[in-house]
Amino acid sequence: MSTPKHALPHWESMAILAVFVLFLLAPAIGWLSGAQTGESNLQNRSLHEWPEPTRRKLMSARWGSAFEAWFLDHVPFRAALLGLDHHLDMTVLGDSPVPEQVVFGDNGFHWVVERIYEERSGPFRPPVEDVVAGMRRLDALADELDVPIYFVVSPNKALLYPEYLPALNRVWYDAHIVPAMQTLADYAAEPGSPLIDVVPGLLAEKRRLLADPEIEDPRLRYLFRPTDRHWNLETGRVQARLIIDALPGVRWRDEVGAQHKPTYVERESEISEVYLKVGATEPYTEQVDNPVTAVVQSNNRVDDNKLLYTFQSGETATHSPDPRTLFVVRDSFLNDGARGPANREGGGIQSIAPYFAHSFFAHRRSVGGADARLEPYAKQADLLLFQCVQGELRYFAAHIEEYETLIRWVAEGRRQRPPRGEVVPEVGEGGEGAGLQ
Amino acid sequence: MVFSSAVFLFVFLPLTLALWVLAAGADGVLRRGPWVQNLLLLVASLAFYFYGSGDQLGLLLGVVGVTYVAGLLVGSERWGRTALGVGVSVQVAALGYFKYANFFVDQVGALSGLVGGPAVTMAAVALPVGISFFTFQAISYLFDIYRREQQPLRSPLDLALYISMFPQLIAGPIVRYGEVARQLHDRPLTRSLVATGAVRFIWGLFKKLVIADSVATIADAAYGLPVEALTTPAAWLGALAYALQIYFDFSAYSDMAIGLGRMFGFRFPENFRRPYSAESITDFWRRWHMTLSFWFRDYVYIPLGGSKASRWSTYRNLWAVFLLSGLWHGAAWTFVFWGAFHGGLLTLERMWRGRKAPRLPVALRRARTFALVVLGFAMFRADTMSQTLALWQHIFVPSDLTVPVEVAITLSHKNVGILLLGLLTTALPGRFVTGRWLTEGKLDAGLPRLVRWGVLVGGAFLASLTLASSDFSPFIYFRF
Repeated sequence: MSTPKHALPHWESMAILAVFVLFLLAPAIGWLSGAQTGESNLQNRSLHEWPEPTRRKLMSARWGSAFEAWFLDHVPFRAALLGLDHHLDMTVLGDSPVPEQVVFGDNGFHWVVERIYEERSGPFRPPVEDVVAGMRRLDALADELDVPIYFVVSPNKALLYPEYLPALNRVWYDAHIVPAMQTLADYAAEPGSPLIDVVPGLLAEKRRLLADPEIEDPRLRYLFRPTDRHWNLETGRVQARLIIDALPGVRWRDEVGAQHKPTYVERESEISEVYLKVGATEPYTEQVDNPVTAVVQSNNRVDDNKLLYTFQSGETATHSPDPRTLFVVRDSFLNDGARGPANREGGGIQSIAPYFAHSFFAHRRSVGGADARLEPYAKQADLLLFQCVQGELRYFAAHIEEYETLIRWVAEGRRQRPPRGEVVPEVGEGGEGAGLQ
Repeated sequence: MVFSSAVFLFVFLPLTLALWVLAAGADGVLRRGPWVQNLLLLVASLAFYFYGSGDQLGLLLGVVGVTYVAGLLVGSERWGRTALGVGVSVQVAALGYFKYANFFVDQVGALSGLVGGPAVTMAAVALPVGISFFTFQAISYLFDIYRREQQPLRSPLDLALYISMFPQLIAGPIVRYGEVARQLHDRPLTRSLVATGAVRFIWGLFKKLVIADSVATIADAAYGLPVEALTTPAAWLGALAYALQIYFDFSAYSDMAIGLGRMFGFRFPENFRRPYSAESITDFWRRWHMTLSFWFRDYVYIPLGGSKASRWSTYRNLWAVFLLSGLWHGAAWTFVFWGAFHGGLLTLERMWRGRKAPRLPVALRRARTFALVVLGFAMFRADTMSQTLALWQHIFVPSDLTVPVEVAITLSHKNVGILLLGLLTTALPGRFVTGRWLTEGKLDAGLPRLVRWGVLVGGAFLASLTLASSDFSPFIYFRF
């Protein structure tokens, strides 16, 4: 039996009871004083609505749980306490308030969890060996049909900046991802390999940027945004340069830049979206003045049905002798993952594509295979480049047969095409914005 | 409605306390004992149960009704034995049907499938919240009357209050009738008692929201891994985190129940006494969920013969008690094996007792006991025995030494700090007073004032922050 050994002094008992009553009545006092309750933008969701009590709901006890959800959303001081809790997490403990989505690393780097570990269900399911086998299979077919093809696997942020990963994540990453990526690097090092390894070049650029004392803006000092998963526009240019340099018959031209809006404004960091509870962590809404990549208005266009993106920008956007000779199959080809604002206009994979004559990606669910609408473009290509980001390899491995169709289209086009120098009929509508219809 | 939910804290409890103050005033005027207070507590308790369980309130009232009638008959010379048999059988049948029918049908269906028989199915039976607790209280009431240790209650309202009192209704402690019989009519209430109850309640709230729920994220992540994704660090972390979670979660509920009881003038029995510093499994069961252990001792083990008969009868009785205890915790084979695991360990300890062998130092005895308990709880938490075996395999045979992402993301500074602090404090010997404060919740007047106020203000503040930033998570012992 829990019998107190000693009684508390009267004043202390009264003081404890006063504090306890104040604790219990705080929300009621808040209501009376009109204190702020929960907010949908702080919760990243709509607040629960008042549940109408019906006999059925009451008898099944469902009303109670609905009422609790509503009450917790609307209890006074909720927003303030939530913000304070997350602020303490971030500033005092150094913890992410949403660790299932974002973890904090060193040097101010934040990591989107799914992007660190996406490869676990990526190249390793199927294993990376299957990815290489798929590349070999495509390479063999291309050889047979005399179609030049190349592969590029763009690294993710963790591969370039593993030192800023949280320690446990790095141990896992080093044990599981790095060896797999090394398998790809080994394949790239084979004589005559169609795989272009851009990692060494990017690592060199990383070192150069870190050593440059004049770069102060972290968005320009690093190849990836510190609090986002995407690389920046300059990284897109660097990668495009590395690729162009590795391809035969094309030559990098400094005057050719990516096609982004001249007053390009970077979107908010995607991580800020999950930090609404404490406010955006990095204000990516301000304009970043980047003289290299901010060039002419893009003639990129997006299909109404958002199935296909195409870039057909003529002389200013290609480094190849003929604007239609390079056909880039982007990593998002046949997947449905590239619909976010960053991919449409930001510093993600799209930042590479404008450097090439034709680039396609499509949403897998809608296209469902080697879409016939790609055929006219494929038939004009002399060279086929498959570019994937590291985490998207699973899509590549899953659609080898469809890529074989693409290779056959290119081969067919090469056989039927008039000799170079003749007029090539325009595909789709002419003029600016011409593209796939 | 759990004690750590916002609705309980900021609606139900203030309202009930406010009405209770009025009721106490009315009782002072009427001078008939705490009659109005009891009525208020009964109404509040039934409302509490109806809010969370809806029409299952009928079952609770049915148990009260059967217990009341049976109690009156058990108290008679003529019908005593028969009434006890019928009364207990009805309680056991209710518990058996609502808690084990689904499990039983599943097993019959599986057996039928094995021999190529027809499919055996049944509409799922919903488990009434707290049925394991209130039926056990009802059974103890009938036994105590039968043994002439207590008199049957003449007032059905008193009995209803005893069985359904909301502080201990759904997750204990299992309060035996003899422990509160006198308090139902005579319970001196002091400001000091209410104040220490408030501090104890806040301490429980803090333990639940800040400690238990933090380590729960680690345990949930580890146990949520597919068996093939388990690694050695994940298995260790999962097992340790769950051992802490279940202790801090369940003992938090007991703290809050005891604290609430004090606020209404009741003194409920303690349920935990630093169980993780036990020196043996026998010792552990004298410290863990004590009200259940003592219930099984008094109403199952001793009636079966206890340790008075032969050595083998004693072993049989131990096994019977712990198999039943396992089943009481849940209708799944993992619980049955958990009970058997502890029954086996206790049997081994008994067999070993009296032998001339060098005794381990106390620290090693504690470590050994803690390790065995942790291994047992791994089984308790696992969904299947194959998951348990995989977990044990990774614990004992180091394999992949990386931490899977699902677990790594839960290892925030806060969670790891709480895990380490929890391990330290729960395993501290009794002479370390800090450990005693933290694990026993003895937050009465014997506690230094600074600690008491730290618990009250700091605990309430941190619990509020945690409550605001997350949806509440139910107490583990709700499902038992």
